[in-house]
Amino acid sequence: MDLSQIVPNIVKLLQQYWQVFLLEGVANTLKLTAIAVLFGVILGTLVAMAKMCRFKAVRFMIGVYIEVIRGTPILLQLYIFYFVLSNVFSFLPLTPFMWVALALCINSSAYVSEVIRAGIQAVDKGQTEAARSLGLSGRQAMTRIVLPQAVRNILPALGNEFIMMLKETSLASTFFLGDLMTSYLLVGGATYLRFEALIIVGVIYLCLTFPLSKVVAAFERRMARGTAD
Amino acid sequence: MKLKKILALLLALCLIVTAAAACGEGKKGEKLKVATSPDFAPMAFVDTSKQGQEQYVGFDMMLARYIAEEMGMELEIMPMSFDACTTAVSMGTVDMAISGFSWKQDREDGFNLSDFYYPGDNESDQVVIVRKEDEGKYTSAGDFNGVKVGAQTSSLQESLCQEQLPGCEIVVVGDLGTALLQLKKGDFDAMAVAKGQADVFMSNDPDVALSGFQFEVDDKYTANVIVMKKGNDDLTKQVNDILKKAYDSGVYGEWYDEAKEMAMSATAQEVTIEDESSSGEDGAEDGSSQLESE
Amino acid sequence: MEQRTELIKTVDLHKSFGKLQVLKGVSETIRSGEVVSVIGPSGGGKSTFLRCLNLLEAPEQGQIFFEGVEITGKKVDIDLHRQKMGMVFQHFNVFPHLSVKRNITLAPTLVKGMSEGDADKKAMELLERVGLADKAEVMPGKLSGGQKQRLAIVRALAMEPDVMLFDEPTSALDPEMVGEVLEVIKGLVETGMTSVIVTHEMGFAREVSDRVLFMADGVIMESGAPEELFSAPKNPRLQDFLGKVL
Repeated sequence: MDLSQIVPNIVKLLQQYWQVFLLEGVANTLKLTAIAVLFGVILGTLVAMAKMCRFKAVRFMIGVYIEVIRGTPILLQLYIFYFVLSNVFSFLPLTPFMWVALALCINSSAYVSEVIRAGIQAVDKGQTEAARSLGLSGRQAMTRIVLPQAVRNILPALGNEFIMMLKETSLASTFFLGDLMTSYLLVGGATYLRFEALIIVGVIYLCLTFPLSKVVAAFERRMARGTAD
Repeated sequence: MKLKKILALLLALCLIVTAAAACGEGKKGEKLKVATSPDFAPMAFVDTSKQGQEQYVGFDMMLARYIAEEMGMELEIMPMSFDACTTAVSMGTVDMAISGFSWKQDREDGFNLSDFYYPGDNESDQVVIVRKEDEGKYTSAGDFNGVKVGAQTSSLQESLCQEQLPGCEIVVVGDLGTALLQLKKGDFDAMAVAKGQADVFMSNDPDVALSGFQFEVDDKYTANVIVMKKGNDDLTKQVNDILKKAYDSGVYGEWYDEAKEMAMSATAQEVTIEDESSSGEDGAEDGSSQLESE
Repeated sequence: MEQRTELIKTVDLHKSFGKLQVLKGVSETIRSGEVVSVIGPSGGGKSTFLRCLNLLEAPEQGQIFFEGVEITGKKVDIDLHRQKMGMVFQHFNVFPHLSVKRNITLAPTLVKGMSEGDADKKAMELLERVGLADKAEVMPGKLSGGQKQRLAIVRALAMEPDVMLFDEPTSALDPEMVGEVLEVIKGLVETGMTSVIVTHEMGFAREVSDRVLFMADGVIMESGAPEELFSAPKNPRLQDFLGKVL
């Protein structure tokens, strides 16, 4: 394979298609990720609360929800949302982009809810006991004592969820929703310089995820230090 | 008395059902939804300088626009991966899929397929490409005995290799762009592709060449079909009539040349980048400064 | 010490964890002003008994009366009663995300509606009392084990409880820190605070208690004044236990 052609080809692609990669691809990838994680966190918090509620039937249903979503490939979920649910709920004025974003939100909510639940349960039981022994109600013990400590466990994990989701939005390219991976398909499909397009997209993904993971790691360290002193 | 009531009720019911059906049809009548996988020049690809529905170009897209126009409907292209296209047809998400589908038995079993359409003259030619240094090395089927030949999985080319190059060792590949890299790298020594494809490859890449061998093919393999939902015979007939009209008017070759030209210019633009329009020049400048800063 | 009204009374408490029966019928009365130590082998039900008193563990059977109210009853606001029962844990359970002072002021301000100013003043008094005044603004992570436990004690005292429950308050401490915590408890007991102390410190139990309970196998096997119980144990299990620990 002629390696000498790759660099000039990459330059060529960047000159001609940089807007497709950077303006459309990066923007849409970040947009999808932000939507998925933001609503995933809101929904995931509710799911985590429901998972810890006192009604067995609710806990069971939520358990099924979480298992189904975490136990099936995200691509399959995209298909279900894009083809099946959009058909069943065709009266909803949702665009394909919204259906896919919705699928990613639902997917994220299942993972986030487990992150939140684990974060809460990682707080020593003695903390709740001490709070309750002082006369704090269950709700006060949760909001004043447990949650502030759980946040230290949860936030870095949410950062990692953001990075995971950033990569998983690449599946939106199945429906050419303009994310980075779609840029690869479009540019690669039009020019047949697929390898070169792939390298460009790969480097961009790395440029996004690497600083993010550094930020999360720094955050993790700060959180750990916060507990120590 | 009672009978009258029941009759009235039935009548009312019939009216509602027909009204609902009419409504449904009317709604569908506005738009013709077509699934395509626009990562396959020159059949269907994206002109990134354009926006919205306009950006989908290529032979199949011209055909889709023609069909929509003939049917008096507004065309809506729904882009999705090749595999998803057929799912979209079965699920009723789209009315049809036009994405360079070739005829295959299991496709015939699962869907209503249109009559053949012909994406230009070259598409009916199926060739084998090789690395530049092997140009013209293989001229007969026997030359391929023991040679590794790449072909896209469950494609026409794979069937052709099986039938006409019985001595070769078939290496199944995924997408063609990657396969081209594999050929250059030496994973296999030859690759079966459509002639139109080969032309695009060769125009972009001086390292590939024709082997000198050409498959013998018939319509069933070379031409393309439009995929529609099983049992949707009315639409199929309508589409077939339109295809016949297109064929008779001889537009296929014209479309194909246009599509191929667009596909080739997609990569060859570095030559023209200097004398592009002002907006394009801005883009190019920004692009190169972007590059330097990296 | 003659105002001997009943403060806590338990009747036939039963509690199991899964198949393991931990309490098999415990009936006991703690009177106001009394200092009661609970001793006995591990797994004998001492801690579970103590934790039942403020319902951190709910007994399956039996009743608990606190200041004349049956807190095991259905329509009881247990949060209200817990305010009057301070508890000190083996593992301190100080709140790591709150400053030393805030650890103390949280419950009075939040639960009792005390003003921040009053709560702060009270907290400083209490910290002064246990020699931690200079640590008021520090985070608990910077404290030693003994300091944490002293903080936990004054945190409970800030609610002005009628009884203090100590659940092995020195078991998790390094040996050199046991003394400072016992001193604080001793000082507290001398003010007349009703206390129930689950402990392995036999010398301490003997010194501060009005009464000692020996628990084993989920029941109270012997109870009496410390001199009697330690000098002339009647129950063979107690004799055996004392023979091992003394």
